[in-house]
Amino acid sequence: MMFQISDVPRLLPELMLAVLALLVLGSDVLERWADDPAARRERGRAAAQLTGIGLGLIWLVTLVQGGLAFTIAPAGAAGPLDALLSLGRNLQAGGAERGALLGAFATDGITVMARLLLIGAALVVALLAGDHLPDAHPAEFFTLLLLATLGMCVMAAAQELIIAFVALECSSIALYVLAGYSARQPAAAEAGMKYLLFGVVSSAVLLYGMSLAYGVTASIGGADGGPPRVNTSFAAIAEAVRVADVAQRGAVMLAVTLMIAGVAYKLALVPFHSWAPDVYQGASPTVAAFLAAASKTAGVFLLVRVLTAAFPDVAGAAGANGFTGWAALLALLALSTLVLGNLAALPQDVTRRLLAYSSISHAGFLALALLPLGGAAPLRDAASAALLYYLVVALIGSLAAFGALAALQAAGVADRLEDLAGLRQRNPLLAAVLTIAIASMAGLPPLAGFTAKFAVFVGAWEAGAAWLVVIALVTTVIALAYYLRVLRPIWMQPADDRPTVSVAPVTAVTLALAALALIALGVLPGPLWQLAQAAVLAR
Amino acid sequence: MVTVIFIAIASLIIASAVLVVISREIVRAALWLIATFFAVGALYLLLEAEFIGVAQVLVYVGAVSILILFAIMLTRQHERHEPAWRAGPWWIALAGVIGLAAVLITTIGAVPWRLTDDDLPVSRAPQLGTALMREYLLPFQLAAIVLLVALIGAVVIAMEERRRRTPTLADDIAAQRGAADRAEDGTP
Amino acid sequence: MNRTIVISQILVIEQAPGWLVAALNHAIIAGVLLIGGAITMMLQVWVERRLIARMQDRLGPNRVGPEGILQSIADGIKMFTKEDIIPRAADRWVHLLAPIVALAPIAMMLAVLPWGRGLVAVDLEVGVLYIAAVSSISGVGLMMAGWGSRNTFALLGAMRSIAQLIAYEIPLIIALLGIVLLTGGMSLARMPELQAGIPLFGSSIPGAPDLGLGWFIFTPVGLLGGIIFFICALAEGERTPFDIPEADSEIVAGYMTEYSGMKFAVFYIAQYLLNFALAVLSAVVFLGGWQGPGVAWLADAGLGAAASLLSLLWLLLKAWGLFMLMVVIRAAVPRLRVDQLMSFAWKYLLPLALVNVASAALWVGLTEWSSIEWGNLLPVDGLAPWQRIGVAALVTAVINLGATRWVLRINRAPAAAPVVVPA
Repeated sequence: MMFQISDVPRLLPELMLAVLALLVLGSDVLERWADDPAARRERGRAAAQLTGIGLGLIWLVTLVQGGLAFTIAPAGAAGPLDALLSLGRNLQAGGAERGALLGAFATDGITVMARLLLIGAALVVALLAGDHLPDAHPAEFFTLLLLATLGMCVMAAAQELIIAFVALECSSIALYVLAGYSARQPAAAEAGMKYLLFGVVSSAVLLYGMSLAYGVTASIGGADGGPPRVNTSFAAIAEAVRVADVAQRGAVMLAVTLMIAGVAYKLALVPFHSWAPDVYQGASPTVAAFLAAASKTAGVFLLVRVLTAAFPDVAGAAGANGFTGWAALLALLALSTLVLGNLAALPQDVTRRLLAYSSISHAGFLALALLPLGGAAPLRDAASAALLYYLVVALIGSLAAFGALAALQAAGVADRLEDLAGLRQRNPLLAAVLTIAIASMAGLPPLAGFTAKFAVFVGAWEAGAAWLVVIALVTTVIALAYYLRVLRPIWMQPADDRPTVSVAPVTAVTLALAALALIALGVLPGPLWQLAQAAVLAR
Repeated sequence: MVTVIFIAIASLIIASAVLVVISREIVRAALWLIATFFAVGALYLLLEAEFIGVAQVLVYVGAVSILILFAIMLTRQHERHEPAWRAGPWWIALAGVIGLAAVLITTIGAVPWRLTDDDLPVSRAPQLGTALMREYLLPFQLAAIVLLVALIGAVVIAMEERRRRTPTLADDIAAQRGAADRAEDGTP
Repeated sequence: MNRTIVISQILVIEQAPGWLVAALNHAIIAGVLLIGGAITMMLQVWVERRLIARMQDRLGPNRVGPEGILQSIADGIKMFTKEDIIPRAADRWVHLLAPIVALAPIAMMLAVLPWGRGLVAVDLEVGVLYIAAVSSISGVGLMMAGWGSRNTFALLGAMRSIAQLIAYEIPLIIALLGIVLLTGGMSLARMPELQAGIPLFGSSIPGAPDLGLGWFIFTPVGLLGGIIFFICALAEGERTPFDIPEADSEIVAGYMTEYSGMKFAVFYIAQYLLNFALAVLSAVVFLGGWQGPGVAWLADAGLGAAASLLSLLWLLLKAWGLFMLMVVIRAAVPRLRVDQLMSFAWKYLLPLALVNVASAALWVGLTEWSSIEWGNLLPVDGLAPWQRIGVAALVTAVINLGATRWVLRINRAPAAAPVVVPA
């Protein structure tokens, strides 16, 4: 197995992200460096704009390469443009529906979806960050953002333990730094430190699980009775698990437990959630948006890859058919997360903290959506599509909500609930965006959140976890209470003498588009649903 | 013979690892950590994994622990003092550790691990290098990016942003002269 | 190494069990190396004191024994009989163990060095990496000394020495990496064997006599690498101009401030032994090790033992020559400032070392790859080996010279602005 030049198109978005990161880092040197704030802002703006333009371009390339925007016609009559077209065809051939690259990196429909989501999230965050430039080192901020996105994209496509772990570290280390970026502020320093300590422990737990899985794989003979495959690829692990005896299955389950626990830290599922509120509150709001949207999505993709590719034979069930395998683990995590996350959100007074707990409870829904992935083919595919649908909606929702909070903070609004009073008069656009995002999170009918939640419930119900669906429905109703606590000051309380809030045009357009997307996906769920199904089937 | 050496190394690893945790003084803990790393390197040598054993010593003893010691000595007072905080009752931690160890030992001990070493894919340095450049090219390059991220992060956290050129002596003197001129003129 | 002469085999009884033979072998070789090391260290001290005295127009120690050669033994006895002082505030065990942790890794370095033709104690496949790893351990010993003494000067000295060790270890290892590329392996025992033949071309010209002069220092890659390595070795061994950690006019004696008697002597031994080991390493990697005119001739004549003896002499000659060069540099060059020390490592040595590795890769490509591996871009197959070496030498010489000029130019101090001191 060697890397060929013809494999380059299959890694094109990732390579472009790396190049863009170096470009942003390098071009900073050419800027005017001076002590006055204007020059510093100009430097930061330049980095933000370069990052935004580059990310937009990469997003489009990913779209075209995945065959979602337009497909270049197959080779026909030789014309003047044929050389250009064949280059385009070659690049597009690196898209979906080919075997794993070096046995380690899947370029299927799910990868394309993940790239679009993660690069899109990074794009939105880069646009929002134009108003939220850090006090120092602006170019490094965007470089780290890009490299974290790169790590996440690779993580979502990993078909092998080493790639998965290195990619996870790539994104995590960048996020540790981003969370504590303005280390001169105590809150940011605390957020960075907490995220680092929890993240390092979770990485160690994950790595221990991975080493166990590798060791068991290297000890089990092949499916054909031949010698064991000493290999870290998910396919080899799955093959070994299929023929494992009882004792070996015990070790495999231990490995799965440790790996799920390691990723659960990143997802902030409930026994592993305690870092999330402090980090979301202490980090800069754009970083919080990135954490809530992209980091969580990438973690879910990693779980999908690991659980379905490496451990389909210990999936088990979490319902009437028994309570075994990783499905049962996920059911327990979903249960605790849904109950505790929603209950803990009730008494919160700080908006971002409240949204952090809401984000935790959404991770519970994601765990619920992961449950049916170990089932039989038609059910599993429908559930995968539901999961993708939920991921898209949750990503847009948390970007809109945290983005609106970022815009509020940039305008100098403090972050307690009563500070939102009269927002409908002070800035109708932000009020509308925040309302739509929160209503979608709550799962109110005309919006995308409703469809997404419905699809997840159906998948889990059909997998037999009806009891969990009932509990999830109850917690959804509880959640309405705290979502309404956010909406009340916005619409019901008078503005009194609070000043109006002004928003930069780029931020306003970005947020408005996100809110519109939530409405559109809710009213017309069909196209995205078909896209998700196609991505699942394009293996 | 090998078993005797293994037991000696393993008990050294466990003893020094326990001492890392229970040492009251952080420098002592760091020194025991070095002993642990060193003994793990010896374990690799016992497994005839020369490259990994030597790399373990180079990276962990030679680089990581020295940086840990450096950081401790730069940030702590020179006087010996007891740590100001206590991490809860020790027996809770002990019970947790024993419980975890029980689960791990019973589960892992039940597995019939394969103990031959005939077809290990990479054991010697040239094969290791070839594997890194062929099968594991992707993680290898990605690891380079991880190092870049860590480097940028370290610079961002540790370095104060300042103007490109540090002021020279000539700049200093010019500034002083300017101040002196203003003082003579009577302007503030 | 089947040609390795195992000294102890002469002594071992036939019926002894295998592990006893192995243990005796290792014990005897270790004993020879360590006693040899101790004698070498005493000679080094004497040579250094006499040579420096000569350069400073003094006499130096000349009373104890002929020409004062026993002076070091007298000093050693004095050290033994001195009181062993441990400061009351010191961290007793750390303070006590520090000299041992500093000395042990240096003694371990001696094990893998090839002392002569077939005279290798341990032929480690990863010898170069082993040297780098083991030499980095002694930093822990210095740290322990600095911290355990509870003395500000000691702590400052330890910090300085660690900063210096880390900064100079990187170009040192990268300089070695170029040679590792050339030899295609990290075994130190193989390195001298590959440096036979005549300068630059080695044994690539058929019929040329084996003069034992195909040293890497005669190639452009080896020359630049050797210079970088030697400078870094000065810093690693804390020799002037890099003796900042124990700058006695600034911080008393650095990390050794609180040490007296035998513990001080152990640090002293460690330092001189490290200098000698680095000199031997430089000789092995860049100066052909035990290769020299006559070794191959003796070996071909069937006089294996004589060849080994001659090769040992050649190696010791080179190592002592390098050590005396260190001493002369100490007498001639003033001490650097800390910021100069750091910028020299990071701004001069590191870029040059990296360029050198690229040159080495190019050298390997030009001398060993076939046309197909070059993608049929370079028709190298038609050339004889020595012609290819000539081309490679030319190309790498141009690259290394250009890089050196470039690094010197971009680091040139900006034109000083006229300083006008106010009247």
